[in-house]
Amino acid sequence: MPTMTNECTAVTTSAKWITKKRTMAETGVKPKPVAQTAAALIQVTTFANPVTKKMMMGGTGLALIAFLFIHLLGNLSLFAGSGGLNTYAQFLHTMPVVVWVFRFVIALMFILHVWYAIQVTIENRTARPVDYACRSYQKSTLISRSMIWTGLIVAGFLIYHLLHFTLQSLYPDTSAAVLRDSLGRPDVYRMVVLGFQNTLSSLFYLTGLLALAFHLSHGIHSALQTFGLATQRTLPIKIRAAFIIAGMLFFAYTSIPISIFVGAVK
Amino acid sequence: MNLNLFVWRQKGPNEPGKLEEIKAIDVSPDMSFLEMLDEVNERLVHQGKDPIAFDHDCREGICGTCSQVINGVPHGPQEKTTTCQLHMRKFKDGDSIYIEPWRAKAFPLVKDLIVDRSALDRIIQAGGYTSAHTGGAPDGNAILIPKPCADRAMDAAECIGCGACVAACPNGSAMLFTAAKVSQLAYLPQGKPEAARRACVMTDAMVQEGFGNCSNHYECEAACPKGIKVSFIAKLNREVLKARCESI
Ligand code: HEM
Ligand code: FES
Repeated sequence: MPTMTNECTAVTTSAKWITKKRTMAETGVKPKPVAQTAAALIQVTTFANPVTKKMMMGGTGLALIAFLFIHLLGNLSLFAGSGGLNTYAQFLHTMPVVVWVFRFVIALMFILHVWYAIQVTIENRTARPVDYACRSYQKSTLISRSMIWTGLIVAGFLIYHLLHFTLQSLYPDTSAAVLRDSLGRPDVYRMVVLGFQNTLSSLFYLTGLLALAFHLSHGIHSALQTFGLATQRTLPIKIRAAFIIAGMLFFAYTSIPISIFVGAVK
Repeated sequence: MNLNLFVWRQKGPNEPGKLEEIKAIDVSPDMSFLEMLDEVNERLVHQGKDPIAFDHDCREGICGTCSQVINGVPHGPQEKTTTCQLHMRKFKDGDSIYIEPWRAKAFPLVKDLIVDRSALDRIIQAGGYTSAHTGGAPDGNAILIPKPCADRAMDAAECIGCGACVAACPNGSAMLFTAAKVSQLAYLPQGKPEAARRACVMTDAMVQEGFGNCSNHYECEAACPKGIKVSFIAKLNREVLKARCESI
């Protein structure tokens, strides 16, 4: 009688790791916890079940989207004038622990997402070593097939963004570290306005956000399907909803550089 | 009508291959695609050349053996139709037609248009069964099954295992196939107890065979000659999620 012998890979891997640890303890060899943990993590993630991998990507992706909404709400305080944004910035500075925990969680989500994204993309590319001479796509889109590229553009943009507004090392003369508002607070508002009056900087933002919008117009419904949250009836609705949410995020975020660039916000 | 075929020719698994231009002359619009190839082959044999090797069996759209990517679409341009059921009236006189084998690392090429699809069988061997003996055929209605469940299980069971989903997928993933095989059991009382675990072992087997992961391009659904829906992939994903929650 046939039985299911294929053990779940993650379970066997961690079991192997435990056995290895035990033998090390018996033989008196000192384990190297950091290196070992890292090796185990790499092994567990690399040989994880394909659906589990996609759920890690989808889960981290959705968490990053949740962050995008929170970040957007904060950013929109710019439209309340210099008082709005600077008050918000100062409010964040009153709770460094919360901010640092938040940053840590987001960084972790991002790293996991990219780690799985690269892994999954390499696996997918190697699954078809010889390509078709003639290929006609029926349902997939250029956007869905370019997730790795839009993702990498977002990652590149993120580095620029952090250097620009978080580390403020890109344009030190106009950083909030030197600018002060009328109340003597770091003038984040002025830093942002001066930053986006720069054409190149605004173009960078538009490109990054466009890539993000493309990424999410596939990513949102893909993540829902990955978690099994779609049926034959609801999938087309979710595909459209993903497009609309990605578009809304794009317009809401770009409203800031655009309104500054055209001079509506000074 | 006369057609220009561009057919993938490759003598063996490790030989170099290339697209070869072959003329199909006097093709009747009533012929099936395979009958057209039969005639082309007859002429090739008369000319002392090697005929085009292609897979086929039932020729009535139920066995899933015919496997050709026609003009970049597995099973050709007509929706929900296998290559053997595709008719030449779908083409026009003077058309160029590209015919290629299923392309995937997990489907090693045997000759010309024939690939070895036993990787799909091994996915089934990994878990596509129920491990409890169910005895002889039970009396009708002895096990009550809600109509929607029976319908879904039957829809999933329509999969003929041809591998068009793999051929169509930009990632060479066999997710739609695996999802159909998981779902046809998971919706029924006999298959339910092992459903979550089955989903895990079959997807594990899928990547071990060298198929890619699912990126939700939904290219498979469009190519499937039996119209298997990607909602079965969502079902498969739910089963894996269940396994993770129950930590099997
Ligand atoms: C703010 C940043 C990002 C957000 C909100 C985001 C969101 C998402 C979401 C929701 C998905 C769908 C996951 C699924 O199908 O289960 C996804 C997929 C993907 N992401 Fe991202 N992502 C971000 C950044 C990145 C970056 C930096 C990369 C680059 C390495 C990347 C690469 C990918 C790839 C390759 C996929 C498709 C995976 C596949 O299905 O084949 N993403 N992303
Ligand atoms: S030959 Fe059987 S399905 Fe086409």
